[in-house]
Amino acid sequence: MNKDKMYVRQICFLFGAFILPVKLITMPALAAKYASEDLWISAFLNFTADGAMIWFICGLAKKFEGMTVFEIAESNFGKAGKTIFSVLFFLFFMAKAYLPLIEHRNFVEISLYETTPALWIFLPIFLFAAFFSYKGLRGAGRAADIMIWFSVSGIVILAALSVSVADFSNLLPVTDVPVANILNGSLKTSLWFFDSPYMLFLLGHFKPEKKQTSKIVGAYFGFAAVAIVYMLILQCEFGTLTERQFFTPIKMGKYSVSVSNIGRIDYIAVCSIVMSCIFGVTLPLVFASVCLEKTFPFKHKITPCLITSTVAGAVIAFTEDYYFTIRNIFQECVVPFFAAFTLFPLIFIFLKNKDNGNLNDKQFKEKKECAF
Amino acid sequence: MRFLRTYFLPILIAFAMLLFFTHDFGLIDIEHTAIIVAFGVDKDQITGEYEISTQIAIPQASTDNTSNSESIISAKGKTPGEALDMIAVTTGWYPLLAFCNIVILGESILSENVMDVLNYFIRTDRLPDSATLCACKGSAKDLLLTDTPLDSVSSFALQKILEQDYAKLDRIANINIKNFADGYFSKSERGFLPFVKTVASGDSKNASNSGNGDGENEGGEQNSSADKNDVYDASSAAIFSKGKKVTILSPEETLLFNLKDKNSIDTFIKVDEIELNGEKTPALLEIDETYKKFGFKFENDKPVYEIELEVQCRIVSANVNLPVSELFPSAEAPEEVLKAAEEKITDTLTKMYRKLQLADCDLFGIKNTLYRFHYPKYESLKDDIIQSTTLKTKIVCKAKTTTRV
Repeated sequence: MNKDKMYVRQICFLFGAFILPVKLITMPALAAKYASEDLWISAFLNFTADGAMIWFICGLAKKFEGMTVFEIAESNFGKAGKTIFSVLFFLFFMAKAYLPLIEHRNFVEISLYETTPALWIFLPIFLFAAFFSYKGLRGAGRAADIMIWFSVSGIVILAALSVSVADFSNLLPVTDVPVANILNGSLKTSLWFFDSPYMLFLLGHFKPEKKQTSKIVGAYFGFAAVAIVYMLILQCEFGTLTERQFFTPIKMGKYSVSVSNIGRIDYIAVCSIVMSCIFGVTLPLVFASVCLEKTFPFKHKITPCLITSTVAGAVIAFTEDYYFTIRNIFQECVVPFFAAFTLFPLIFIFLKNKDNGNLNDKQFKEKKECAF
Repeated sequence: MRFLRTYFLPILIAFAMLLFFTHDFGLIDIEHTAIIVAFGVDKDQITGEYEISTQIAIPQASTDNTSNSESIISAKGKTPGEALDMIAVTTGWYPLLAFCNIVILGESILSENVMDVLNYFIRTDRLPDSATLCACKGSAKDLLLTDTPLDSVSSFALQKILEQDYAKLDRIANINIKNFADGYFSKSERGFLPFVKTVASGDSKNASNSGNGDGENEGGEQNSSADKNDVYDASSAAIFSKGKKVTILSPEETLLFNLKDKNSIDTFIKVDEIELNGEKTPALLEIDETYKKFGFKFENDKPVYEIELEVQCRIVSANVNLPVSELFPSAEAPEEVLKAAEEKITDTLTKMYRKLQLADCDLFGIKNTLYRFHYPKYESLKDDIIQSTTLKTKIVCKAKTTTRV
C-alpha cells in the first residue's frame, strides 16, 4: 500500500497554490503578443484542453481504483514497459521544469535585486527542490494546504490594486483578432499548460471521496477562471503595452493611488507569489524524482531527488544565457512532444484493470478497504 | 531521514549563510549607490546628444537650499541609456532608479518624437514606469536646478504640484510613463503632459494670466537664475500626436479636458465678466459635476463627439460688495451668472476642439472609440475621422444649493 496518500482537497489546492501562479509570470504577456486583447481566449482554450484531460484522468481513477500509474503500466506492459514509461515521463517533467525555473530566477532578480546577481545565488533553490522532492507527493499536498493562502492573497491584492486603474474598453473589440492569431497564442503559450500529467501521476496517491471528479475538475476550472480574470485585468490595465509586461506581478499593482500614497504595498503580494512560485517551479522536479525512483532501484529515497535537482541545476547553469533561443525551440519543436505526453493517458482506455480483474468480489472489497 | 537531518539541512543552512555574509545577496553598499529621485532629459540640437540630469537624494541635516544644485549630476550620451551609464562611470556611484518618481522632458525633446526617449523607460525594469512624466519650458536641467522655497529638493516640490490632483482640483493633466506610452501605441496615437514653467516666487499671477491666451507663446516667466526662489506652474498641458508636441492647452482648456477622466469636487473656473448686484465684475466659480458624458457616436450616420456636462455652480469670489445674506456659501448663483458659466465652458470646449482638429490630434481618443465600439467602420473612416467629427456640447449649470463648503 502506498504511503503517499493525499486528500482530494490537497489536489484541488495544488492547482491553485503551485500551478496557477507559475502561469502568471510571463505567459499573459506572451499570449498578448499573439492574440492582443483576446489573450484570455487563448488561455481559455488551453485551460479547457487541460481541464478535459484532467476530467478524463479522474475517470481513470475510478477504472483503476487504488492503482498508481506505475502499477497500471507494469500490469499491462510489464516491468520493461514500466521502466520505459518512467524514463519518458522523467524527461517530460525535466523539460517542463526548465522554462518556469529560469523565469522564476529572472522574476526574483527583477523583483528583489537592484543589480543582476550571480547565477549561483539562485542555486539554493535546487537544494530546496531536492528537499521538496524528498518529502514526496504527500509533502506537496501538505505544502499546498499552506501555500494556497499565499497564492490567493497575492492575486487578490494585485487584482484589487489594479482594478482602480483598469480601462475595461481595452478588451474591445473581441472580433478584430483573427482566429489564427488566437490559436497561435494558444499554441505558443501551451508550454505553460500541459498540467494533466500531474493528475496522472497522482492516481493511486489520494484517498477516494464522493464526487471526487467534480471537485478536482471544478477546482481546476475555478483556478483557471482566476487566471483568466487576472489576464483580463492585466489587459485592461496595460492595453497596448500588455505584451511588454513580463513578470506581471511586479508590474500590476504599482499604478494604484494607494501605492502612490502609502508606498509599494504591492510587494506584499509579490512576495506571496514569489513564495508560491518556488513550490510551483520545483513541482515538476518532484514528479521527475518520482519517475526516476521508479526507474532504478535506489538504495536511499534522497538519491533520485538529488540527481534530479543536480541535473536541472546544471542544465540551467549552462544554458541560462540562451533562454530566448531555447524558448523558441521549445515553442517550435517541443510542444508536439508535450502534447503527445499529455494525450498519452488516452491509451489507458484500451487497458484493462488486470490487478482488480483477477480478484473475486471479496478480495476486491478487501483491497479497496486497504487502499482507503 | 537521518541523512537529511544530519547532513542535508545543515549544509543547506550553511550555504545560505555563506551567501548572506559573503555577497550580501548581490546588494550594493549604500555608500556606492546614488538614489536618483528625478530624471531630466534634454537634447543638444547641434551634436544630437542627449543630456541626462539626475537629482540625487543626499541625506543632510541642513535645509540650506544651495545644496540643491550640488545634488544634480549630468552626463551626455548618444542615447539616454548611454548618458545614464556615463554617470555611473564618471562618479563611481551606482545609479539606483527604483525611487525615481518623476521624469522631466526638456523643451528640446518635444519637437521630435518623445517616444525615442521614453522607449528606454518602458524597456528598463530599473526605473518604475509609474513615475510621473512632465514636459517643461526651457531645459529640464534648469528646472531641476531651480531653488524653491517649497522644498530643499526641487523635484519633491514639483512632484507635490503635479500630484496635487488627487485632491480633485482637476487643474493638472498629470500622467505617468505607462499611460503616456499606452496612448502613443493606441489607435489614437495621442498623448498629453503637464507643461511646467517656473514662476518667480510671489509672482504667481503671471502664471495664471498665461492661461487666458493660447498658451503656446505665452506663459510665466522662465527664470533659471540660481539666486532666486521659484515656484512652478503646471496648469497648462502639452499635447502630442504621434509622439510629437502639436499644441499646448491653456489652463482652462486643461481643466475641462481633465473633467473627462477625473471627478470634480473642489474645482474652480474663472468667469471674466458677470453682472452681479448691478455691477460688472470678474468672478471665481466653484463647479461640482453632477453628470457628465464624453462620448463618440454616430448621429444620422454622421460622426459626433458629444460632451454633456451638468455642474452645480457657486460664486466663490467676486469684486462686488454684497449684502451679508448673499455671501458665500449660502447664496445661490443668479441665472445670469450660470448662463455666463455655461457660455464660458462651451466656448472653451469649442475652442479647444477646433485647436485639436487643426493640429490633427485625437486627444479625446475618437479613433480608439471607433476601433473598439464601431469596429466594422474603422478601416473606412479612420483616416479623416478627426476632421469629420463634429463637436456637440450640452452644458447645464445649476445653482449649488448645498451649504457644504
